[in-house]
Amino acid sequence: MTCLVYNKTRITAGKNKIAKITAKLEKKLIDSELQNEIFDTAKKDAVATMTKNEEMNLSWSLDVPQGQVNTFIDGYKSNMQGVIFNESRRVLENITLNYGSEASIDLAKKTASEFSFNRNILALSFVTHPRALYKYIIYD
Amino acid sequence: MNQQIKELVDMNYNGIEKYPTLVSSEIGQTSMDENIGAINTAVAGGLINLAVDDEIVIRNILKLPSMDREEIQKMRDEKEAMAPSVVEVPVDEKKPAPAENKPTEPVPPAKKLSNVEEMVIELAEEDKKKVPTKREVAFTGNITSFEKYLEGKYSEVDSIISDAEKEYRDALLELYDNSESTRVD
Repeated sequence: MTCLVYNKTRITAGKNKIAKITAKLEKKLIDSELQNEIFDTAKKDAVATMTKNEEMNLSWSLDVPQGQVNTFIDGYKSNMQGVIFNESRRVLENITLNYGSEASIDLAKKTASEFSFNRNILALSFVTHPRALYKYIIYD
Repeated sequence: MNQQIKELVDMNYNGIEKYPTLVSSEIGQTSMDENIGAINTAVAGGLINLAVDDEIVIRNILKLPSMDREEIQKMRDEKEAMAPSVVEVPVDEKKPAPAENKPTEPVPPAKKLSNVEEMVIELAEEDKKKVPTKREVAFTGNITSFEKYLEGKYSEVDSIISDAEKEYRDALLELYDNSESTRVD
């Protein structure tokens, strides 16, 4: 059985590479074009639902306080940061544990090749706040 | 007394032609509760059947908005039309048993529907007839389209995450492949 040999320099290099991937991922999902788009659409669609209602025949315009919108955006950011941080932490732990215990290379590679994000948590974290903003505008 | 009523009305309103009057009910008249109770008992016991004229009198006793004969008759006809017809299925004793020789189940006698059952059926029929308003349709449609939009956006996120997962996996595999190793037997 071939096992890993503990090497601090290699571990650090590996962790740095993982950190770069994580930073790139964060950039795509947090404070990103995608984030702005989903919240803008949530706000726009909810306001349109309320104002373009022919039967209600509203003569007022709906002003959504930006502070309140920011609260939902912060919630989204916090959730997504949590997901990304947690999943990348698992990768970093994997490196530390495998080198620390001088694990079998085959086993380490097998575990690495099976790595994936928890999709249920990801989906929930992504949709919760835009959906909540939409409902807040409609019902509150 | 009616003269005083006229004076009071004149003080408060102008141009009144028909004045309210004070009338007394018959001495020893029975209470409304007693009357209705008696009618209810008689109808439930099958002693009397309420005709259209009877309903007019009852509505008068109960101080309900008045309805003429035609209106009451129309309402009754509609009610009858809406109630499901309970048809007694004749059991043909001479009819031979089916080919599979299954025993013929006895047909239960047609049951007379109670008032509560009739009301439940009526309400159910009314619910079936209800059509969502334009507002409800638009409202639901907008929420659904927003949910679909979010689903579409999540697909984008899913693909971003899939790419990142691949990068994580490749980085780990590369790291382990290039690591110094030792043989342990």
